[in-house]
Amino acid sequence: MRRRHFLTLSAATLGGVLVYSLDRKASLLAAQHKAVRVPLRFFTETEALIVAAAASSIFPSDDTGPGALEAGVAIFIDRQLAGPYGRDRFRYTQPPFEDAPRELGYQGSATPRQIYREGLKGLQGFHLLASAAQDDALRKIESTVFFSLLRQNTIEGMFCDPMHGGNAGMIGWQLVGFPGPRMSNFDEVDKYYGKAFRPKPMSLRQTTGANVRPSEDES
Amino acid sequence: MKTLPSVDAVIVGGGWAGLLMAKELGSRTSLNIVVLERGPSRGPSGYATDMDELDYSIRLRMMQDLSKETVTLRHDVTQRAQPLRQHGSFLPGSGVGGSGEH
Repeated sequence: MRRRHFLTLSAATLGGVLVYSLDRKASLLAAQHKAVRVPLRFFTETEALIVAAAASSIFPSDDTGPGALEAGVAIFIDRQLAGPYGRDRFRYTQPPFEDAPRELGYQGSATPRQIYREGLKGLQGFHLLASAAQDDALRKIESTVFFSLLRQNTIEGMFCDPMHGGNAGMIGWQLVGFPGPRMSNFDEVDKYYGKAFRPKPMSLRQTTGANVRPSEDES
Repeated sequence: MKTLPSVDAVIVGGGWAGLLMAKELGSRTSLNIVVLERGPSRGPSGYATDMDELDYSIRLRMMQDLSKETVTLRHDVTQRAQPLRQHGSFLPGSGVGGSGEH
């Protein structure tokens, strides 16, 4: 078995709990968290740091709200790659692999795991670069399959249900004003008639009370 | 090999076509009919509790498992047909209800 790797999220990156008032202005509660060490399922610690930094360049935190670092996007991607998605459990992966028109989709043989492992080799030391240099490094790879996957997974990790490890504290949903998977608004229609209705986001597990299993936890 | 009980008609695939045929044959004739469907059977509670957006709407878990079977396609006869490796605009369903389920 390989040595266990962890990604340490500092109290500063967690940034406390984000709350939104009804006028949609974000405000951060004082950071009270201690650093959290999250066990990694696929990445090495260095790889996770690079992915976290790259995701943060793609979806940065700024004065409009938190970004990929706070949402735990690197943890999300780590879990996705460790699970069936990472090994292409659902894609047709038989040869022959041939060049095809773009609109027929990705025709390569590499799995998401292989694409990340290879792609990250080209971003060595990325997490140590200054922000402008990070943007330059990403611009150089922006037409690669690796970058488009990283970009897609970053967005998924910002806005997925928190059971997948991303969208921590549902901060992505709060950013866009998404209330989560509500089953019905039947009771609220009369109560809020003519008024703005902005419910606090609830995750699928909170809404249903069921211990829904994400696909990455399947063998 | 296991021998299953004999029936009058076997319908392979419980999608739009198969289930409509089963319904019509079942209600208009006295034939014994069996519908075979390779995907899972889902009830209303499955929709209410299990179907997360990432797994079902993005990763398309309700659609046909392309690792087992897929189609090839090309736009015209001069092209060489290529396999549909991941779902795109064409979404064949899986499970009772088939493509009519999503």
